[in-house]
Amino acid sequence: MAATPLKSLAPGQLTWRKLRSNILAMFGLVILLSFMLITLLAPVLAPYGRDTIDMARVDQPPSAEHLLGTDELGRDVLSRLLYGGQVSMGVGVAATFFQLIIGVTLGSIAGYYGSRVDSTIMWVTDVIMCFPFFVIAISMAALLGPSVWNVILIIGILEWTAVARIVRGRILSLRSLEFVEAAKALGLSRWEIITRHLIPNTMGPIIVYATLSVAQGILAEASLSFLGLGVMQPQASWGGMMAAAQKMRVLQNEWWLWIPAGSMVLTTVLSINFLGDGLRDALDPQYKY
Amino acid sequence: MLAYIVKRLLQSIITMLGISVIIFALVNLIPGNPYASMIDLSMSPEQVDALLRQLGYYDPLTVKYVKWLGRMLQGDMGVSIFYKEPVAAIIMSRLGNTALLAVAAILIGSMIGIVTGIFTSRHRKSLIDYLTTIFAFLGLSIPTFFFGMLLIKVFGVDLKWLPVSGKSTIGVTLSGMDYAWDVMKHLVMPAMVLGLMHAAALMRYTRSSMLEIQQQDYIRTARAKGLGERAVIYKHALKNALNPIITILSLKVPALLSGALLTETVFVWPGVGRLNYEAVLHRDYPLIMGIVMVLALFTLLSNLIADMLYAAVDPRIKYD
Amino acid sequence: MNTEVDAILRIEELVVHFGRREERIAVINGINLNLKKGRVLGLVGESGCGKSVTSLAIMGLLSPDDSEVEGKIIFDGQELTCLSQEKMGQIRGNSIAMVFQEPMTSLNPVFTIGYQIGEVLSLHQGITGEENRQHCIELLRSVNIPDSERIYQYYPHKLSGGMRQRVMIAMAMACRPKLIIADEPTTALDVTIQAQILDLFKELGEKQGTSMIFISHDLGVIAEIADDVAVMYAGHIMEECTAVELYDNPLHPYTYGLMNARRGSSDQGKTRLYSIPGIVPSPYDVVPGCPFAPRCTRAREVCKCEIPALREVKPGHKVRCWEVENHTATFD
Repeated sequence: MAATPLKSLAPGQLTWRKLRSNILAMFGLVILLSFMLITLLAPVLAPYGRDTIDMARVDQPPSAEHLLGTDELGRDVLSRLLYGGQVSMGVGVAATFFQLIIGVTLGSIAGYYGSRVDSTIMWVTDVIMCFPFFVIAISMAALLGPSVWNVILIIGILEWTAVARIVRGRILSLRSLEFVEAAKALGLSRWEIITRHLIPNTMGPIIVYATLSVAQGILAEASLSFLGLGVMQPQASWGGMMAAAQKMRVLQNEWWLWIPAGSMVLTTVLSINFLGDGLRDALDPQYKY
Repeated sequence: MLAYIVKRLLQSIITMLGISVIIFALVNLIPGNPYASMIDLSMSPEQVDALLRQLGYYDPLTVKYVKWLGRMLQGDMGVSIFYKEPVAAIIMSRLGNTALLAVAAILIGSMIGIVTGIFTSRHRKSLIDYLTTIFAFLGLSIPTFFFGMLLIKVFGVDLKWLPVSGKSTIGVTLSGMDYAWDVMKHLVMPAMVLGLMHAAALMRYTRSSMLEIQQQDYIRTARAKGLGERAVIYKHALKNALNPIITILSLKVPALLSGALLTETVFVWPGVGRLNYEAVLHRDYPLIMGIVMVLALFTLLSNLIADMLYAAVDPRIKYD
Repeated sequence: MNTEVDAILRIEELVVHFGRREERIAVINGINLNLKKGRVLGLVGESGCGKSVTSLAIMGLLSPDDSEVEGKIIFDGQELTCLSQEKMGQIRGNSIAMVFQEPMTSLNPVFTIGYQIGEVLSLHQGITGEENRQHCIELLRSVNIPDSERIYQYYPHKLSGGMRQRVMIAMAMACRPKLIIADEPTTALDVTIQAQILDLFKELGEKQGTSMIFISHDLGVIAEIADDVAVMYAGHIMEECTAVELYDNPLHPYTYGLMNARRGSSDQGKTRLYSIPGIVPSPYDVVPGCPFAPRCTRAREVCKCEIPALREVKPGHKVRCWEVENHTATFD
């Protein structure tokens, strides 16, 4: 078979090749992109408005008019599901972004400067990691009040520690390599060395982490909203929609109010996990496909 | 070895201080007066003033912190606004239930996770390997409460095999074996939810650990000595995998406690997690802070125990 | 001399393939070896020539998942290639033992030295308890490890590379095997330790009459220890004769090149360092004809088209080379 020899492919192309051969990862990518597309197009695709109330058709099971039925205010479940996707996925992405800013910065500072600075930053991560996420998240939500931005803030503040450690570890091992010496000899400032040389070499693990953390963010938002401490009505979110099922009547008889929302969360998070796992393997230089 | 223990203890104490600082900061961010709950309205203004002075109300922040820390160390975590009883006592009464749930979950999760992890590392690309991989992904991707609600619907409501909530059947007084059996029935679903999610994480990690170990030179030596596969895997390989397994078990403790919170809420299991949620709903700040403190310290303790276990298992660490 | 009777190990047309379908490559291309009882066979070649794979094939340590072994390996009258893993396990560590290249990683870090040696004794000879312990301590003494009672209780990380290699040798000798395969046992050690370990091998070999296959890329080491030598290149045997004959009369261009490379490094720098031009081919680059042709200074047309057979050009001296066969080679 006359294929391009592996050695002559650029790193990006090689990674893509490896990823492509991973069925689960590709499945995840396709599903994820589709979901992102349909939720972004919610204003166009949704049959009804997000908040359109129809008191004549309250708690209706799925029908021709309302494909996924209606909720306790007569709102169309399908439409809310689409709009809700915007919030749920949006929170996941925004929270990840927030985590990366804090985590990559602190991690690279810790890794590059070492000694006292490193010890202090590591001590802070140790302390934060002692708090179980939900325990402190709901406590903070109690203090700050439920809202989309507070959820993003809470997740961001609590979860940056993992990426900080990853970045720090990488920079510690890269720091002693020769190309850093060469950069210093060329007169590059410390900041330039960190941003232009060290961090790009850490991109692999950061990308994998970012992908997986979007999944975690979606799960966190869903749980917080389910508990009534996250996204509030009338804003829709998948977790918030599932809160209805805390009533036994709903759980027993009105499956359309919570099972579709839960399935969306499950499918989205599953897809992201497949993709993230595939990325991890694809970025591993020793992984042969 | 002793030097190592001492070093770790000192580190833990410093971390504990950090935890206390954060909690103290949160306590002071609470809207309203955190000292309000400690004041008995029937006291005279002079008595109230004296009490406040003793508690540190008029003091600068650092002194407030020291006084507060002192009270904490003596077990005085304040009084719950909702229950009107000492926070410490309330937490203690529910801790046992969470422990029961957590232990059951860890046992289920570890057994399933480690055994399948070892098995799939030896039979890669088999049907079971693919199935367990999918299962592991599902376990990591499903929201805890959704899984719980699905189980309740199927097993509790539709099939009516298991009770849907609580720790024991209400309105019935049982004792001895009957009581234990009743609790077991109530424990099954929440423990399965928590345990299976635990298993999912452990399974993949054990598998990749075992795979990595089986590539090592000393495994080749073991085979070259004529040892059978079973001895090679379960003696030589597994003993080296213990350390990574202990690592992940201890790293998962906070996740377990978080998961317990959601599981207890869905199943109305009377543990500390459910208590936390209720306290948040009532805005019962002293209780909330007390629970956060206890759970954070518990996580710290489990990290410490894990470190001790490493040293016990891996001979290289004693000489650190 | 009836070589059939004296041979403790006979390898016939051994072929080993790695990989599946499109990635299937031949790592060993039909080699034949005869090891006589009590003799030391040196297997020489650069990295990648297949010498380690040969030893793993003999031991049955190649994973059936991605390798395929064809041909016959007859040890002490018994055909090894068709044995089950269980039966092979009774032979490994017992009648055939192996010492590997990397002493630093070849011992399990979580078990004591004594435990790891004792395992072999209890597994194959059923010796347990105090008798086992005494036996192990005696073995440690026999490989010149001082203070063997204390070392018995140590974990591997407390020992140096040289000491660990001695432990590996003690483990290999534990059941008095008829054959020891040593795969580059001295390569990872300091030069002074190398000499000690080599002496140890020689001593044990002489004392117990153990047959040995000694693998190395270092001609100096081979000169010290081997009775007979086989030179390997790209999964083929290129030259085969006694050690003395090899050093007096290297016939194959590759052998000659190896000798020159070595000689060049010990000159006082008057002559330039000689190295064989080109690089060892990867098993993926299969060329028709003699695998050494691309790098051979004496290559002719026929060399590039057809691979020569291994022929006995002098009594007891086999070579695989068109030039040598036709007596047209003169080396100066």
